[in-house]
Amino acid sequence: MSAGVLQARGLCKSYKDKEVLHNLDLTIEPGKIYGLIGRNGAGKTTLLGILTAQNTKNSGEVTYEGQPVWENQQALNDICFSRELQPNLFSGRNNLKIKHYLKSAAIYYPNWDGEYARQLLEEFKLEEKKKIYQLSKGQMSMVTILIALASRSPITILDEPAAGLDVVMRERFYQLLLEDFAQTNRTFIVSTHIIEEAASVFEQVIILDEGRILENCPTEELIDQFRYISGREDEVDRVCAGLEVLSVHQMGRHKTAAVRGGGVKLDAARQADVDIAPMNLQNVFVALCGHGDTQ
Amino acid sequence: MVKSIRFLRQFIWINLSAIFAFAAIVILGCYATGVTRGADNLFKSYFQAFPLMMLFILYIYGFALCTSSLNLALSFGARRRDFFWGIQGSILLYTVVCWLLQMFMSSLPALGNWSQLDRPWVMGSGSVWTGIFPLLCLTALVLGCLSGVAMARSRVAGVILIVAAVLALLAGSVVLFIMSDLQMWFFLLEGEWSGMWGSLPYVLLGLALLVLLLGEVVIWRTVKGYVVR
Amino acid sequence: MHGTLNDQSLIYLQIAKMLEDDILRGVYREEEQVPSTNELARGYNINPATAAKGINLLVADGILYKKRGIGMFVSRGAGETVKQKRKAAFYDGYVKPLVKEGASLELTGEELLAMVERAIGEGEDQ
Repeated sequence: MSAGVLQARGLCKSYKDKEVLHNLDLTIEPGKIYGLIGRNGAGKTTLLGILTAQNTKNSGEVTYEGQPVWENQQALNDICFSRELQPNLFSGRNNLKIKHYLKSAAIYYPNWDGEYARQLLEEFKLEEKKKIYQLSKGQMSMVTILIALASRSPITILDEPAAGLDVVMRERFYQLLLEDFAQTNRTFIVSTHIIEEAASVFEQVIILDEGRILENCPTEELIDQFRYISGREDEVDRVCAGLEVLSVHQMGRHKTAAVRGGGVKLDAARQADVDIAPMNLQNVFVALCGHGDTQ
Repeated sequence: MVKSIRFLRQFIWINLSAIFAFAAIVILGCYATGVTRGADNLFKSYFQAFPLMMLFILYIYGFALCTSSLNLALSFGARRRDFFWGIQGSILLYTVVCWLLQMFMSSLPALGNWSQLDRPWVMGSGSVWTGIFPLLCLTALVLGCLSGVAMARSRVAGVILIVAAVLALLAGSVVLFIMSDLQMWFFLLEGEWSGMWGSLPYVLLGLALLVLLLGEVVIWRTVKGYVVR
Repeated sequence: MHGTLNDQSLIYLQIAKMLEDDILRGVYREEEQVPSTNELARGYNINPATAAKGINLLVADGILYKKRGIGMFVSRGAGETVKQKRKAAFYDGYVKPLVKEGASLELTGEELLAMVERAIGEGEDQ
């Protein structure tokens, strides 16, 4: 099962007067697990909606295998966008049953694996005839995950799949995801708030901040560029002189700086009397997107 | 387009079953409570007003077509233009089935030898009505779609449209009820306002066609530009 | 990610180090097969590409080699290779930090050396 390249170029989207996505470029190469991380309101769901032709754009283009995704049957067949389920739909409760979602998925996803869906139903202890509004938040997440995994679509997108799941179920989800990936080598894009847990699952991470893509590169490569430098404030300042400082935290004369720079640039720091510590993905994310809110 | 029809079929199946079940209950109730022998009770009213109730039910089904069904289908990757034609197919199917049901019910008293009444059994039985009913079904469905679309855009517009649609359906039904009652008809036609009453059916017809046309345009544009939630 | 992996260094480096430690300890002997990329990924709940990166590092150093269609195997003399590799990194990784820490505690060179000799002695006693 091979996927084409999904690409966005110069994408702009505004809601009323507010510009939500600014001149965004993104290329999704097949065969990787991508993590899409960003704060609330960064534009993740909007971006994913536009990539899958479920949302409209103001300008720019989104193509799949070179063709625009809009009303493109090939793209619509190959891409599965599994969203968070809503307990309320429009005017009132979501009266649809799980089996309606499963049946619809079977109709629209050419690669739907009914057997796999049944196995997952059993494992998640979900009953087909239950209505969506009767489900707990965790169960709704499980339905989202079930549909995404059983779709066997070449490009599968999950929006907040772990919301509402307890930690044991979340671990199980990452396990299922990796197992599926090992078997099928599908392209996955997982949009999530829960960053550090998922970091080891993502081969590549896309950081979206206020409608712009800050980073789109392999996870470990990204993390390797950042360090915490801490110690006495004057030493830290001296060492950080030639480095890009993202945030600073001070307690008395103890200063910790989150810096960007690796290899040679850190040589001076290594000689000095400061501690150099690695940053994990969550630390990096907060340093890049925290905008100094949290000090 | 096949996918969209298969998708909608799941819901059409349930919805039509509901209508049939309702009809069955009303008919059985008529037999059970002696309406067939001339008794006057709730079941008689339901039986007589059944076409009107079908119109209201279709209105509600139309509402879902352009809201939850549309949203769900597109979220699974349906093509918009395919789904639009799926909606048209659904509307057609609902109309045909309800029309057949109405014809059946309006001929049931004659077939079943129910005791006669002054007034016709089913609201507007007779050739005029039989011809107009499918048009009314289409209108009810399209109005339902429009109400759904309006509701999704803004609560206020939605509520206004719902109230207006309900009033319109009620008014239209009353008029048609009168139309089907020959005595009432003659009474009106001989009065001073005969000209106005006489042309009323044509006015209603024109209005219905207008609603259908505008409605389809709105539905098309909605589906084209819809953003999945 | 599971078990013994942490976020103190890059995951693929930890995978490589773990395999090296296992080779030194005799968990995997020469010409024996090591876990595949997918097995490692499954075992630690990490992306297979990361596991592959760790393994490839060891392949590049000549510690592991690939048998087509079967998997990854420990090279002849891998144990020695690992030791050589670690000896080369020993100075930067252990000695320099030792000296730096000693300097910050204002220990003299003699005091440091005395401590090192004492530690060697204790190690031999065991």
